[in-house]
Amino acid sequence: MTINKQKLEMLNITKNFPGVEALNDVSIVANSGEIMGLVGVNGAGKSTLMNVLGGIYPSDSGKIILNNNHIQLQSPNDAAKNGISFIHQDLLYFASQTVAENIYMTDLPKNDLLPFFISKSKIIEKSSQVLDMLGSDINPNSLIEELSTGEKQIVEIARALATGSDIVIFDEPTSSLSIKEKEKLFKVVRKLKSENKIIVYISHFLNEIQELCDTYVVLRNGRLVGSGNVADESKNNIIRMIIGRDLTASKNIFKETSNETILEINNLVQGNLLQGIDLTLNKGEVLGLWGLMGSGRTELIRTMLGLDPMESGEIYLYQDSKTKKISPKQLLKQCGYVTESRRIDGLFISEPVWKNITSGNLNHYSRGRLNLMNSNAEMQSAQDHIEQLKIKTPSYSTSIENLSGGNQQKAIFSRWLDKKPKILILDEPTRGVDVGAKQEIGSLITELARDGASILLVSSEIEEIVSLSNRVLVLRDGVIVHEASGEGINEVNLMSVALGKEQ
Amino acid sequence: MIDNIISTRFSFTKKIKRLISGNNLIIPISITIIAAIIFSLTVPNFSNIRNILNIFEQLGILGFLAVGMTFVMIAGGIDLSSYTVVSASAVVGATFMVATENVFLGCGLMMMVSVFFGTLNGVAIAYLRMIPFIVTLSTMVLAQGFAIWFTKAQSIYGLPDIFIEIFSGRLFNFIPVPAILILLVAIICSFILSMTLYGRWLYLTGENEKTAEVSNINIQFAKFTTYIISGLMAGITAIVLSAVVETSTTSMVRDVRLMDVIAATVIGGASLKGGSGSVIGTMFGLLFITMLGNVFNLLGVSPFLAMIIKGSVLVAVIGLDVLRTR
Repeated sequence: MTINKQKLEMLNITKNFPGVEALNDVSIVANSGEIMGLVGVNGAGKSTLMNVLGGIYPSDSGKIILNNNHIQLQSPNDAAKNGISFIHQDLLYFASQTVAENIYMTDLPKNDLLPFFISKSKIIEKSSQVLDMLGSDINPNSLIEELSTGEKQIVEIARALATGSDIVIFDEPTSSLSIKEKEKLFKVVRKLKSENKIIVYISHFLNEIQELCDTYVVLRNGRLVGSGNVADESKNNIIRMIIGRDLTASKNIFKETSNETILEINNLVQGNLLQGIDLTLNKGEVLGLWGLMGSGRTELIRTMLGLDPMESGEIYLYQDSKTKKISPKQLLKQCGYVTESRRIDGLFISEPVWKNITSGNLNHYSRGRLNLMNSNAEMQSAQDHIEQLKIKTPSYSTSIENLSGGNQQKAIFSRWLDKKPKILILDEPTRGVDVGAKQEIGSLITELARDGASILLVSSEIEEIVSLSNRVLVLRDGVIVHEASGEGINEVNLMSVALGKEQ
Repeated sequence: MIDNIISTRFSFTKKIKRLISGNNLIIPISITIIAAIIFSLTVPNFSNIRNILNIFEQLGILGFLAVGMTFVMIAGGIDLSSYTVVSASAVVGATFMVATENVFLGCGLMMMVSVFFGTLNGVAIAYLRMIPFIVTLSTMVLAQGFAIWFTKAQSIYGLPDIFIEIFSGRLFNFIPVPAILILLVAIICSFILSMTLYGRWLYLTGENEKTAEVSNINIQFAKFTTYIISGLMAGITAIVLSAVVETSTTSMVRDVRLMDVIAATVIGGASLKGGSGSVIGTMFGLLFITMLGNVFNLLGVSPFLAMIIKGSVLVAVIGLDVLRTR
């Protein structure tokens, strides 16, 4: 059998979601024996494009051509039939089954004599072949749950090979891998390349693209902004394409803040996710914590507040000119914390607005031996907060589920304003809120810091980080890799550090 | 935009949801009143004063367990064990009471044993993060086994007369003492749930454990204490029931009654997902369920057919719960 060249073309793909133009007239061409890197920031359209290829969302217009045949991809099943495999970021596997069974999950070999039964020996034999082909030494008999994340990924790749895929899509495959595992994965990907597969490799990290890929495609705001051979383009140019030249508009207004430390965290460790974080938070400053998805931002916050277990690390709180070593749980008591996902851990969704607002400061409203709640005072202060932050709600007794996202978020802010904490931790404070509320929240943050609160601001929106922070820490792979202040707080600088360009 | 489409499409469900929402008492009170009217018009002897007293006496006895269940369910759990814990504590307390003629010791022991089982549930669920359903199911079997082992399956007779007289008496020759007791407990517990900081902790923990944790509420303490309260209620039931039936046995509360208690609590506005419910609602729910059982009795419905009907009522009620919390 001769090795025939394969070619995948996605032409003029457009995809709209209600209110969002996810992809606009994007065309890409991928050849077998080549690794194509697909880059862009969160929300640039990378995942949507690959979901179209994986049959998860049908495109609104455009066509997909595989080896000069027009193919229809209406479901993941269609994609599988055309030999397209998707290695997801969140791996899909059956943890208590063996490696071999996972590899052949969709097509278990039957026993020759008794076709009702699965032939264990055949599965083992066939999966060993596939694993050998990938140059991996994973034992097909071991259970998935015994493997490391990197090994699980290789099993998933083996499954793609076993189903006879010719096109393999990797979605941010290295986000949870150690350096060693990363090297192993790269070896496997190169092996696939030599097997003449078409490979699409999605990543935030330019280092990986340069190391691994032959060609690149850059998406921004759903449009194709550049493509070509990796070898022909400088890293700086690619970064410029990713960010867009016109995006440097938001400027950091340099603000002088005190050097009085209020919180110090030393060597915080949690598994692979956080590998020794040191940070100090000063009084009255907005400290931006910037990093791409999967860099460990939310994990850092949950760990320092005792919501996730901390393996090691020390927390010092400076109060009344005294230093006190405290536990994460004690820190949580001192802080206000606006969480990343309102619905999961931010709201009491079927409770009225006032109970949502006062829930962080209940001790303040209880009195006497019996700890009776002074509900009138609660409602009064909820009403005050509603007026202060202009929360749009028919009344304080309306169930909070009836409010818009922005107003729900303002109610959560009120919860912490009510407590008046010295430290305020904001994880994606403007996620899913409209432009108006976004601005109001932005000026509220600045105002709070001016009044002396210390704010740790986590955001995946670089404009927000740049315009609000006094100081920015850049997090990558669970390590703080850079600290920027003053002039250094600009989009190009932060983005290049986060993408992996060394200073 | 997507939200808008969904909200118009499901506005009908939303209306139903609002109608049966756990926060209002309209449903439990109205169905109880409607049922009472229908029963008194159609079922002979139902509105007889002796029958009504009978209903309230039964309600008094199950009421404590239902109050305990209300606390547990508000904080997002369930307690299947309380009805066998009643037997386990009753036989231990009664044995010592008969042997020593000391009523205080006997009652004290009943409370201690039931609180012990409550602690067991509470530690396993709140601190070891085990699943309430499985933990309390195990405790249910454990308590039942313990009661039978402890008594060698014998009932305990010969309780002191004074003990029996206190609890089986009637105030002004009219109102049964258990009914007064349950009224008292219901008022205190209703107050705790609606007026105190602790009550608020329970509702918020049941509504959303994660948000409660971020809001600095000690969710472990909140959940733990609900099982202690449920245990306390089982202890009170053991005392009252032993006095009323003048004996302590290994099956003082039948398993069908557990179903009654859960159904009453859910009809009263509690959700299996936590965050809602009230003692007043539960009491009306329990009144409804007790009337239903009483009517079956008066009409001579086979107890097994009654079980089928009550089982169906419970499934229907839980179905409504799913609808309103969706």
